[in-house]
Amino acid sequence: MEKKPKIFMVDDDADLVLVVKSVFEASGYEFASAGSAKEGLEKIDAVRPDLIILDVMMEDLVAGFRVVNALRDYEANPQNRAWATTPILMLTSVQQRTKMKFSQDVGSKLLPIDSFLEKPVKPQALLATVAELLKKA
Amino acid sequence: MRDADDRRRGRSPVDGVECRENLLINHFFHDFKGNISTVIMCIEAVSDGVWGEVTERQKASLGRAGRTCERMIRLINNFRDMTQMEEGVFESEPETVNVGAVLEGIEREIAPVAHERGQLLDFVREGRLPAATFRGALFERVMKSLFEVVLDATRRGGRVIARSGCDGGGLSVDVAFEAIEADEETLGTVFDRLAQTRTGLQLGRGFTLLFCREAVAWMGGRLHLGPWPGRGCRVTIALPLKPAG
Repeated sequence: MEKKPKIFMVDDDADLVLVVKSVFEASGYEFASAGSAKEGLEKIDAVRPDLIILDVMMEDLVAGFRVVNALRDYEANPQNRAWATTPILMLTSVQQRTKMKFSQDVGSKLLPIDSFLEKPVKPQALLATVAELLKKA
Repeated sequence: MRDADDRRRGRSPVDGVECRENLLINHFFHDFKGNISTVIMCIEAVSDGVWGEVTERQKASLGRAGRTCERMIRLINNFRDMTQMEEGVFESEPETVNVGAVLEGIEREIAPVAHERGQLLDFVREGRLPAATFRGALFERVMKSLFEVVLDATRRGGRVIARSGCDGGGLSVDVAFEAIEADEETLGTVFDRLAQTRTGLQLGRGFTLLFCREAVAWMGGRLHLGPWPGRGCRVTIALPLKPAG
């Protein structure tokens, strides 16, 4: 049987996580979640995700950015080396405010993520973006 | 929150207060958008049939709920952006945009709403609308916000005529709608925060028109609300465009 791709959502909005979980499970994915950046980094080895959906503002204004740096900068964080190339989709409602720009290149001055979507996002758009990122991975 | 005129005049420049006020506004926007985003996602998931078939009537109702949530998001974004415009810190990157395609997209979005309300909508694009480099995303939000107000103000069975065209390097949009008639002076009060309720354009809708006017001015253009004699009101927008390339 083909292995289901596993999505790991790190977001402090419990209701949003539940609806996203429901959407992904109904579409044939495995799903796990964490409610903070700290919990996300603690759980990632156990979850072993194929793709990470990440919020920005959680326990503080830039918690999501810290997760990105902890995963992508594996020289400073060798324990996270296994997840250095796992696609990260940032799902945020603060894109305009932060003027966030991203690049897939580690070491770039831009945020090294694979894609972002601004909330509110439609389920079909989220599923399509995730499918595309997994295909590229 | 301080009065907008105070902000413009740069009063109350107590740094700590200013900083905490901005943080509070940021957190408010974040929390509001986060909650509405969850509602939208629930609505869309049900409507898309993620958990089973829905009837056309259920879909239509969910569609109305979704559109209302999107209006709330636009309202909060408009409020945020107008605050930033007044503080002189608003930023919006110019981008190359196919003006005709933007207007077509808006027409596609609002036509079903007008139809559902029994309103007659004529969208007239005169000549070819070129690709241009300007604040396309902001322009799109202004137009969507404007049409929200227009459809709300137009009576059931009333006509809305939206004409757009390019002339001498600028874009012109003229939206005439059958609504409560008012003279030029009364309509001017729509843009006055305290007097706008008198015009019959409901409280809050006046804020949206005010945002549209301020955003068009920020893009270097002009928005005018005037009477459509014997019929209702009309909004005209003149916006400079820099052709792409």
